Amino acid sequence: MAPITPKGPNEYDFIVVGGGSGGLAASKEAARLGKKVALFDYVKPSPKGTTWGIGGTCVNVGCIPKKLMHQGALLGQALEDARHFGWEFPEEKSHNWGFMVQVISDYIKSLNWGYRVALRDSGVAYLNEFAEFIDKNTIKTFDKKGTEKTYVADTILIAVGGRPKYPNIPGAREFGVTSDDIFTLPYHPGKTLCIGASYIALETAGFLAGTGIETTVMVRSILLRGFDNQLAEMVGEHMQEHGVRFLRGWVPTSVKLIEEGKDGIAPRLLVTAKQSDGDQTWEEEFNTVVFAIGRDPCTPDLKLENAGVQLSPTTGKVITDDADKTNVGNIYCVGDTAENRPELTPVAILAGRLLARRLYAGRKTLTDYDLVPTTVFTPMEYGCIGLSEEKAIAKYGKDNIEVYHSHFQALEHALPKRDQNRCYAKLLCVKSEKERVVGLHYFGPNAGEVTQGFTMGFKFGATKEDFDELIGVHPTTARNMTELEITKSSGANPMKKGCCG
Amino acid sequence: MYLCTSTVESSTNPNMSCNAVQNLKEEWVEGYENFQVKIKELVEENSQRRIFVYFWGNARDDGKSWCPDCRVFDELLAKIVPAVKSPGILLRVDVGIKEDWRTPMNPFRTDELKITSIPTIVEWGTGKRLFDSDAANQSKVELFFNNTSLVNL
Repeated sequence: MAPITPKGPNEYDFIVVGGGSGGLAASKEAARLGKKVALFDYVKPSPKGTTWGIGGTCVNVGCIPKKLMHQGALLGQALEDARHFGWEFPEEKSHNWGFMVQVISDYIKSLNWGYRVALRDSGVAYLNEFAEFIDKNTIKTFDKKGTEKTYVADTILIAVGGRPKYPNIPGAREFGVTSDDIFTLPYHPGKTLCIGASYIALETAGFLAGTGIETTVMVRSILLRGFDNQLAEMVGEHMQEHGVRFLRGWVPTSVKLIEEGKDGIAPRLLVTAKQSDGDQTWEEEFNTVVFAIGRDPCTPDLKLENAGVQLSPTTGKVITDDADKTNVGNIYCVGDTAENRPELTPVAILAGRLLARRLYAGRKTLTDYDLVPTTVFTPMEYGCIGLSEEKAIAKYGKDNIEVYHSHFQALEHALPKRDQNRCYAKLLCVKSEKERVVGLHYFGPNAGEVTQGFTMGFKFGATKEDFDELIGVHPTTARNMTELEITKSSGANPMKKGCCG
Repeated sequence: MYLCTSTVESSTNPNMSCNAVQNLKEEWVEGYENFQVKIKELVEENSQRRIFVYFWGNARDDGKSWCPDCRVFDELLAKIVPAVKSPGILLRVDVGIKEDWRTPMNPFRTDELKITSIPTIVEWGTGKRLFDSDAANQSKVELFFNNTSLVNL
């Protein structure tokens, strides 16, 4: 056996570019398996100048602040409900945006710090430098002072995620903001327009409205493209009932400045728009405009052509195989940067970890990118596993899919008399496979918690009968998943009457 | 959770204020009320400078901590603090004698800060905190002092 030449100071077994969900998981696992690992993370400021620490999108400008602000909004609703349970408090409630921003920002900084300490523990060399490729084994980096360095590795992982898109209209970059900026907006957002129909647009509009902000959502066509259409419309209807204004069928054409913001006060902006399918135009004044029209992968700045890595011509993302390998044998990609993957933190984490194990522990397990559960944290939450009704019908044929469904009300909503029959559950079952469940959709409170548990059933190919044989926990909303009787094909009314029906 | 596993006898005098060119100036305060007053003052006077707050237990007779883990940490501080480049304050906060610290109602435990063990050191206003075994790790203590920003740029 040839002796292994020890690696020099800038030489590594494994270099990871990107310190987000995928990159952190892969680098820590590889180091745990005894490899010499370096992790490069560098956040280029948004057009508004926003930047952040290690942890990637999820920790800094995604899942974490989103869920916290969503919770902040839900607590506002809870205060309203509280009076119906006997709580007496004299004042009308009001919300301090600046306070919420500060405490969430402090918490995120403690997470950034926690990751720095954890990286010390793991033995991963962390470098706050922006990396680009020179060739398939070599990267060149720049730090904030512009100092250049070079590093070499046997294997390189691209996990640089993505950033929000801006539309190509005047004023978008100068006067609009995105999810990169909204969580640390240094002034109260004021009257806000969220542009986009993605879950980012709807979740953002949801928590803004829930903290008392006058919120409008402008949508070009359908809501939540890629999700189940019926549930997407329910999400939108519920938001509308709870005070969010929707402008359906419009696209923005410009954002103009009326008056600059200063001293912690928001600017005044004029937004012009036109119909997606028509000639009408429109304009209205807002204080904040949030673009949530999609995300672009951070591939252009990596100079991947120097390594010969193939990108998708339509999305710009990195093309990978089932084992997350690119067309270049020693270069891999996980997370949002990779083509055709669910853009979700747990997916990136698992992919990063399993990749490290395949590379360095002789394991063979691939990441299963199907059957990924997810939840949209709008004011009424929507959780799902597997296929949408449209995809199920396309895959198995309309005659082969039985849809069981029901509306219901959460017990907690009974006293405040809200959202009666608003909640909804449906299971999509393949008739020719003993009614194996291929799609689960839940619209109601605590959707994330409800959805997580049922993924276990999907893992074992549960059928409708398996669901029916479960004994429910009572009183819960999750229990509805075990009691679905009415089918869409029967045409019967899925609204609930009593409590235990 | 207070660790009492160390048996190190420290001969380093934690009172040692180092040579005059040390960038971190040490200040001392005893007890919760005094800490509240002092930290307000320091924050007002030092908006451009870093403030480190170190919660420990002072024995009050030989000047050394009654807490063995604090003594270990003091040794690390003695090595690392003189080399810190950024100007600022290191505020030592005496949480009380052992019996007072051990009670669940000790105000340092119940305050928002939630100091649950000593030694704990925080960089005020940053969310950075080291305690328990992390505080005994030289590499992490160095990272704690030398890391000036959690954010790029």
